[in-house]
Amino acid sequence: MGPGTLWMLAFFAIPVIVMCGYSFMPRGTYGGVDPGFTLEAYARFLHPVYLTILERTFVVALVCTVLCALTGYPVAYAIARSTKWRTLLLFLVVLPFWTSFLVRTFAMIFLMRDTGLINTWLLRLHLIQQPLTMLYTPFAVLLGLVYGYLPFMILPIYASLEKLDTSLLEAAEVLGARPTARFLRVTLPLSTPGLIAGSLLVFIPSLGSFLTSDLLGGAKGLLVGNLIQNQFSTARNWPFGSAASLILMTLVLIAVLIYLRLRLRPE
Amino acid sequence: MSKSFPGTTAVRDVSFTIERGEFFSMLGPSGCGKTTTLRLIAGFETPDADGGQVRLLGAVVNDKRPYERQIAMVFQNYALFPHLSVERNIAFGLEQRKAPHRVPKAEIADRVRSALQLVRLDPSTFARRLPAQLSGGQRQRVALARALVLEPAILLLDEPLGAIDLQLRKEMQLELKSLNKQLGTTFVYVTHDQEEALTMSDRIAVMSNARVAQLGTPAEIYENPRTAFVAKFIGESNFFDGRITERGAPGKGAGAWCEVEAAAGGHFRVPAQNGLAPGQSVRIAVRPEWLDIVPPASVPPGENALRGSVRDVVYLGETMHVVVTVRGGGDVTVAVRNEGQLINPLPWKRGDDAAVAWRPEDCQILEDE
Repeated sequence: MGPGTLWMLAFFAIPVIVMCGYSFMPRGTYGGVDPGFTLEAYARFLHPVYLTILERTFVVALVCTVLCALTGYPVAYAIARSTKWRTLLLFLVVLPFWTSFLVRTFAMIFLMRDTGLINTWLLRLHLIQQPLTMLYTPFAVLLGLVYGYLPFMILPIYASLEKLDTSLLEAAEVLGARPTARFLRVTLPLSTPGLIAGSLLVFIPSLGSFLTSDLLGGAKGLLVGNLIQNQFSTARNWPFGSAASLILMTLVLIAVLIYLRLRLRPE
Repeated sequence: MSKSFPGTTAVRDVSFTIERGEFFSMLGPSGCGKTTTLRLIAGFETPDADGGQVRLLGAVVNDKRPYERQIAMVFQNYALFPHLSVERNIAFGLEQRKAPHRVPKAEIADRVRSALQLVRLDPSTFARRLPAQLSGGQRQRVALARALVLEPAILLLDEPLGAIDLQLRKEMQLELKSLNKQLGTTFVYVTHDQEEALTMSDRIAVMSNARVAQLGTPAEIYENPRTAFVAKFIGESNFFDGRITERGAPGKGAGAWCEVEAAAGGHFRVPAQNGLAPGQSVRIAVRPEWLDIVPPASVPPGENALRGSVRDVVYLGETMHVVVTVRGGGDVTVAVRNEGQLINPLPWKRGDDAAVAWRPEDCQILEDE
């Protein structure tokens, strides 16, 4: 058994198995679980309230991924094409990782709240009369998520583009392809692996995010992550939290498998 | 035209005309400027602003992008699109044609099939394969088909046979030559392999240090090299330096001659060319196959000779090379036909006294570089 297998066992397989077990056990009176077997945790999840939350979570994660792809690809492309500024640009992309995600999310609060930086300047410049409500809206949650996960999209796409053989583009050019055609028929298809990797690296974590929606979304923007977090703290319903986690994990696995199947078919 | 990059001049005052339908090669060592010249013809580079021009089919094309010139190109690493099948690769150029030159789908399919047959790949086996599933030789043929399907007036080839093993390379050389004659397409070929250039080309431009050293047919390049570089790069050459001591009048059956005192000792005669006068230094190249190796006492009358002793006998298969160390230092290589060392071996072995002899006219008087 190599170290990798032991690691996977200790930090992944065993916790998942434990959680699986908890999801089928009755809830303990003061938290925790009682011995026994029951499906009531799963049955509880099938309530419309919770299903709405699940649906909302998927939509938010999907929109976040698409926005990251749309904004991240041009950035990755520009970095891959530049020669002088490349190292600096890559450094700037990675720099946010050196600060805490929590701190960065708080920074967004300071920017977006009614008395925050953006509103203060818009009011001072007389561009608006009343402060814009940005905080505690879906917009704020999306902005926070995109801001947080954008580097995860940029770097894999950059890696894919950087490996692109320039002689392929020259060959395409001499065969008659104009710049747009060269991009659509050569660059884009060959950077798809990076796009997929980036999408997965953004979609999956954002499904489980709870920090952003907690701080920037307020009470109305409850996502599955918040729900699960709640079950293990104030609500003290471990089986329900475990069941919700497992349902989320299964759905993600299915979605990812479908996506990979579609993308890995040869043209 | 000339072309400079920061820090280096890649192409300096290179000028030539390629005939329609010709197989024209640019030959030289790495860094001589041949690939840059090819890229200037293709349009991936533009000549420096001091007046260089590229004219294709009579028109100046300096400002035209590669896809606006009537050329097709085969790249050194083939540059096949890895995500497209063989037939999609070949169809790529045809699919890029817009109205009014748009090519209908049925015609594209037909032309792709013909192109595969032209390069001797069976369409039913290879059409759907991906480049990763092909051998080096097969990829090369697909790259060729992709270029030829467009029926270009001019085909540019950048060292396309480099990564292929010897046997297949020789086959492909003959195929390329035959395609050139069959299709009438002008081939512009870049290589560092002199045998390849000699085999396939109608004319060769030998390049060195960003300039054209000599331009001519394979026979002219091989038999009359103008400079020491060309004499050394193409085939093998022995070099002899000396100073002219006298100039003599034509004798019976021979033209005017000059007597040269060799720098290494001894003397020899060369045909008198214009401009050769006593006191001048001269350098000649003599190819191994123009030399004979004879016992010192048996030098044929009228021939130049240098005495020495045999240093080595090298077995090359078709030929034998006998290396003789001549008086005054220096090795001279003589090529002798191999008549079968097992049945009729050469009488020479290491240490034998010998003379290398050649007729005065069997030499090349070299120009300064």
